[in-house]
Amino acid sequence: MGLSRFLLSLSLSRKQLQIWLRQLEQPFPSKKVKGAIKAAVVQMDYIPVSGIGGFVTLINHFLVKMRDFSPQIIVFPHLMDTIFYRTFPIFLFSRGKRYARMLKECSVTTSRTCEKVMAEISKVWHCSVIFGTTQGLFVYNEGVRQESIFEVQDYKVAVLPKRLLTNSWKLKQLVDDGVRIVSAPGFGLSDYREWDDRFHMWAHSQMIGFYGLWSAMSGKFLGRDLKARASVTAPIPITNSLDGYIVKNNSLNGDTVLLAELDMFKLESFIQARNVPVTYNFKGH
Amino acid sequence: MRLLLGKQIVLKEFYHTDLVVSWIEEPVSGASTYLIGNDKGFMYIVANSDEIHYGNDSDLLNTPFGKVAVICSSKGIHWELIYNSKKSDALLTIIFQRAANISDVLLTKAICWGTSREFNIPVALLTNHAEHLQYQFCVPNQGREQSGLVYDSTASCMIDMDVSKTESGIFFSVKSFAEG
Repeated sequence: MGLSRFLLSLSLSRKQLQIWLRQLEQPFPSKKVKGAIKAAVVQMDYIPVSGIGGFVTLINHFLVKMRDFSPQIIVFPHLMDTIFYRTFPIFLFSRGKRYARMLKECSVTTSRTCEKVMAEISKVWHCSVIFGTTQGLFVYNEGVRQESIFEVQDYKVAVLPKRLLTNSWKLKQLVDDGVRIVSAPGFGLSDYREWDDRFHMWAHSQMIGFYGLWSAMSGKFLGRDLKARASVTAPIPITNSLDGYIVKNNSLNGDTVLLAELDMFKLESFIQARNVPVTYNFKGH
Repeated sequence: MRLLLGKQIVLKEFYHTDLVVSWIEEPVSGASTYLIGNDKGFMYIVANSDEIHYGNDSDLLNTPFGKVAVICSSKGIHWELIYNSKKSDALLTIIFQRAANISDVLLTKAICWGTSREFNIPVALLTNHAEHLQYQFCVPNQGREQSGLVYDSTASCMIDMDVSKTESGIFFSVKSFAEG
């Protein structure tokens, strides 16, 4: 196992990284709009690649799609470092307990490499990049790692794991503390159900009042067929089609970049209009 | 409990109906208990009895089928209010709402569904928009694909609902008769 880790660190070496980071797509000059946040949300079909070169080429495929838009926030899916699973020597092993143990040991190296690529994107693109790896959720802004709550153009953004998206009390506390955008890097499910999916980001965008950025990984992953639907959600009254979505992926798989300009003034007036304390507690007769 | 959400369509519906929940301008007859309301208040009537209960805004009723929370509002419905009804041991929350525009109707429906699912409480919504009534009935893990959405329509609906409370929690069994 020690040898595998050593070989992997050679495959994902700093020298390799420096060479390939120069190949990252460059953004077009951007113009910030007052009171609006530009966000790009990625849904990708899982495809394992070999080495940093393969990873950067894959990421470029998505960056090209958002280059004209110059987003301030980019949200990639969860477990992004699993994309390295075709790198030597990980691909030599088949499934089983030994494979699982090795993936666990290698995850520190794959996660760190993934972080470095994402940090560079945030630096070159002058934006915040949100993503997940096997080591957790991460945010980088202009090359610097951020806490799970950070600011973009004076608006607070929270990065949460999926399980917290069904906790109205936690979400209410965040919105009361000034959070206006909630982001969750997502990963698909083999038993995907539309109603379960809606219950997380979409339903709580309505109940609490925030913009939701929900990225997703779909496609074949370790023999499983994953389905997901990336979306940008908002309270129904401030969406054009009155469906609670600024934009959503029409399909449950495939590579997509969702681009959304979030009108923060509209959201603020929605929150203010509904900001009435609830005190009645049904004492009964 | 056999529940009718809406107004009378055919007479056969009213045999063995336990509770009729109607908007105030939609008179009904023939059931054993009635809850008639609008955005300003409600009236709870027990047939063959002098028992009448009036209320406005929000209230908790003790019915033969258990505690029922009633919410009357001309504004947006807040999820915390529905949560408070659950805390007071209500087995069902009934909402009468007058909505100013269609986006408020849709938002309220989404909030009722999400809250019902998160806090495990059945929620019946009667919403009046431009003098047109819409009915929604949400019960956790019931309905098509266990979505939690049993009924969502402009037509009346008969629903059979059983709520059983055990040490391990509350269980719901729901059957709707959309054909009338």
